[in-house]
Amino acid sequence: MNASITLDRAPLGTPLVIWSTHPDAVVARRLSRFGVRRGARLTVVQKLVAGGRVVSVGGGRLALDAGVLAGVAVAPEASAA
Amino acid sequence: MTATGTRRLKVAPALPTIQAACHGPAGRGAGEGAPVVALAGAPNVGKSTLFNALTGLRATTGNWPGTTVDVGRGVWRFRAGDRVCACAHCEGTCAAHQPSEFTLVDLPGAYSLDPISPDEELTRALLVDAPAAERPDAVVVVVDAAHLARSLHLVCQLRESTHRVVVALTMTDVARQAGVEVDSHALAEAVGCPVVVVDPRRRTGLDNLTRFVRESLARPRPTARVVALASDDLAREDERFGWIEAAVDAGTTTSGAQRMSFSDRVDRVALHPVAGPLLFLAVMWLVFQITTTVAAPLQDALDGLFTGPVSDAVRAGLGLVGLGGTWVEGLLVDGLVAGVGMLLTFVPLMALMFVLLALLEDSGYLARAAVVSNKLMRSIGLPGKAFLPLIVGFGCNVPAISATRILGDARQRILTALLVPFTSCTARLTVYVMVGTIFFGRAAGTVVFVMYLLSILFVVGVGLALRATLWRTMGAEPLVLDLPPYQAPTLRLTASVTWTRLQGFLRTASGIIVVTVCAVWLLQSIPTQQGESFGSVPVEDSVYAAGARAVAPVFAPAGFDAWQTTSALVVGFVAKEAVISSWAQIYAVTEPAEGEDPGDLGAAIMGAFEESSGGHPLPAVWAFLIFLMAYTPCVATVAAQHREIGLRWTLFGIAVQLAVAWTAAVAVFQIGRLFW
Repeated sequence: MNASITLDRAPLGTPLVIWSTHPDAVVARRLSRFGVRRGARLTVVQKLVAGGRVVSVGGGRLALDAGVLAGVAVAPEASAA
Repeated sequence: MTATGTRRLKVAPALPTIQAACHGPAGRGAGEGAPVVALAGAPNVGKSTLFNALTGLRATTGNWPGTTVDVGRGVWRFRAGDRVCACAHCEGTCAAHQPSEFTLVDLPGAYSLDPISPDEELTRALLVDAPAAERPDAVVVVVDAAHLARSLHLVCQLRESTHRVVVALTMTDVARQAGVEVDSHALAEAVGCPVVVVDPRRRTGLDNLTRFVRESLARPRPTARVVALASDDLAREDERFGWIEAAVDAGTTTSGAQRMSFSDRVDRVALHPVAGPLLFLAVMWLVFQITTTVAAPLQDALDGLFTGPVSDAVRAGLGLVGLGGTWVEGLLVDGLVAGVGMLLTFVPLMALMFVLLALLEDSGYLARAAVVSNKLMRSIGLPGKAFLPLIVGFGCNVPAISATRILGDARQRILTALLVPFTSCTARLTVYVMVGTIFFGRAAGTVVFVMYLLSILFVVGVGLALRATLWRTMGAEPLVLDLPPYQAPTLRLTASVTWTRLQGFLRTASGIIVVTVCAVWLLQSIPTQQGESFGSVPVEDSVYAAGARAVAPVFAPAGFDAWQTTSALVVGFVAKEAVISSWAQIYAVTEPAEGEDPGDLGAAIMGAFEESSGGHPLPAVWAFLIFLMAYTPCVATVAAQHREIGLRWTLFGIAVQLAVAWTAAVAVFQIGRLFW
C-alpha cells in the first residue's frame, strides 16, 4: 500500500523514508548531493518561517522551503519497511 | 612552513588548468618542478582552513558554504629528509624523495564534478577537463566526518579517474559528539586511497597528511575504479551512492539513538519563525552598538595623538630644516597627517566590527541568518544563499561582488552584484559614526543601526523594482541550504580573518587615500584668481572649491549643497574613507568663521549643514547619510563589478545608485523639513 505523504505534511520527529524525490530534475540533483534521494532516511526536526522545514539527513541538517518540501514524497519508516 | 602572503588568482573561464593557476603572472607557487597538489572538497568542510594551515597563508575562511570562490595557491613546505618512496634503486631522485615543497592549489568548494555553479565548473575544469599532463599530481580531498556520505561523492568521482587521491578527514570531534565513530583504516580500505585524520583549526595531523601525500606521489598513478556500465545518468548516480553507502557502512560505527544535538537546541530559537528574525535583528544591533561604544575611547585617544604630538612633531621637524610655514608644511600637516590620521582613528572601530563578523561566521550563525532572511530574498527573486554575499557586503563590497559566484544562475549573479553596493560597508560606517556623534551625541549607535536597517530596505526596495522590471521573467530558486553545526570560534581563526580584512583597509588607507589626499591638497593649492600664489590660497578661492561649487546646486533640493559637503561626496566616489579625510583637510585649512572653534571639525560640519539646509540641519543630515549610503561605494567595487558582470551592467548599476541615492535624499529632506 502506498502510504506516502509529501514532506511538507510530515510530522516532526518521525523517522521517514523518501518514496520519491522532487519532480524537477535540477532540484532533485541538488537534493541528492545532500543525501535526499529515493530510499534515504530522514527526519523533520524543525519548522521554519513560511512553511519551510529543517530536515535531518545523513547526519547533517538541511533547510528546505515549502516548495521543495511539497515535491518530495515520504513514508513513515515503519510502513515503508 | 613559511608565511609568504596571501595570493588569490582569478582563473579565466576559457581553458583553465592547474598549470595556468600555478604559474600564471599573478602569483607563484613552489619552485619549478615541484609537484602540484590540489585541495578539493565540498563547501564548508574546512578546506580553506587546511590550506592556510599548510601554507601559512590567509585565504578567506568562514563556517558557511561558498567561502572560496577563486583559486588560491601557496607553497606547502616540509622537511624532505625522510625517505618515503619504495623505489628499488632510488638514490633520492624520484618525485616523492626530492622535493621539500609542493605547490598547493585551493579549489572552490564542490560537492560533485557535475557542476551547477561557476565555482564548481572551475573545479571540474581544473580536475577533469584539463589535458592529463596539466592536471595536479595529487588531489587532497577534504572530507567532513560528520557528513561522510555527502563528502565522499567527490572522492567517488575522482576515483573513477587515475588521480592520486588522499582523503583528509576533518570534523571527527563533531562526528563523535553525534555518536559516529570513523575508523580511518577501514574507510581507507573501502575507498581505495589513504585516509588521514586532521584538525586544520588546531593544526593537528598535518605531518601525517604530508607523509601520506609524499608516499602517494612516490607511487605510480592508481588504476581507475571499475564502474559497472550504466544505462543513464540516474543509474550511474545510483551506482555511486551504492559505493558511498558501502564505504560509510565499512568505515563508521554509530552508537545509540540519534539525539538532539547542541546545534538543534540553539536552532530551536535561531530558526524559530518569530524568534529567529527578532534574534537576527538583536544580534545585528548588538554588533553595531558594541562597535561604536567600545571603539569610542580608543578613537579619541588616537585623534588626540594625531592632532597633537604627531602634528607638532612634523611641524617642529619641518621648522628645523627651514620648511616651517611653507606649502610643504601645508601638505604634510594639514593634508597627510590630518587626512590619514583621521582615517587611522577608525582602525579600532573597523577591527572590532571585523572581529564580531568573524565570530558570527566562524560560529555558524551566518548560515542561519541566510535561512531567516530566505523569505525576504525570495521576494526579490533571489535564493536564500544570495544573502551570504550581501552580508559579506556589510564588511566590504569588493569580496561580496566576488562571492556572487556561489549563485548558479547568471541573472541571479548580476542582480545580486547590482544590489551589493547598497549594503553598507564598514567604510561608510566610519562616516555614520562621525556624523552621528556630531549631530546625535550618545544616540549615534542607534543612528548607525537605523542606517543599516535602511541599507537592508534599499536592497529589498531596489531588488523589488528590478524584479518587477528587468528581471520579471526570472523564477525563484528553491531553498536547499546546508546548516553547519555550531562551533566555538577559535582565537587563531578569528584573529587571522580580522587581520586579513584590516590589512585590506590599511592598504586602502596607504594607497587610494594617500593619493586622494594629495590630489585634494593639490587642487586646494591652485588658485582661481590672480594675485594668489600656489600653496597659500584660501581653500574657498581654490580650483577645488570652484569645482565643488559647480556640482553643489545638484544637492540643493536635498539640503546639503555646501561646497565642502559636495566635495567630500565627490572624493567619496574614490573611497568612502576619503569623505572624512576630505573634511579634515578642508576645515583644517579654512579660515574659521567668527566665533567658531577653529579646532572643532564637528562644529564646522554642523555649521555647514545648518546654513545649507536653511535652518533644518537634521533632515539635511539624514538626507546626506542616506545619499552616502546609497551612491557608488568606491572605485574598487566598480572594478570588481566590471570584472564580474561586465561594463554595461556596471554603468547601469552606477546610474541606478546615483538616481536612487539622490531621489531618496531629496524626499527625506523635503518631507523632513516639514516636521523638523
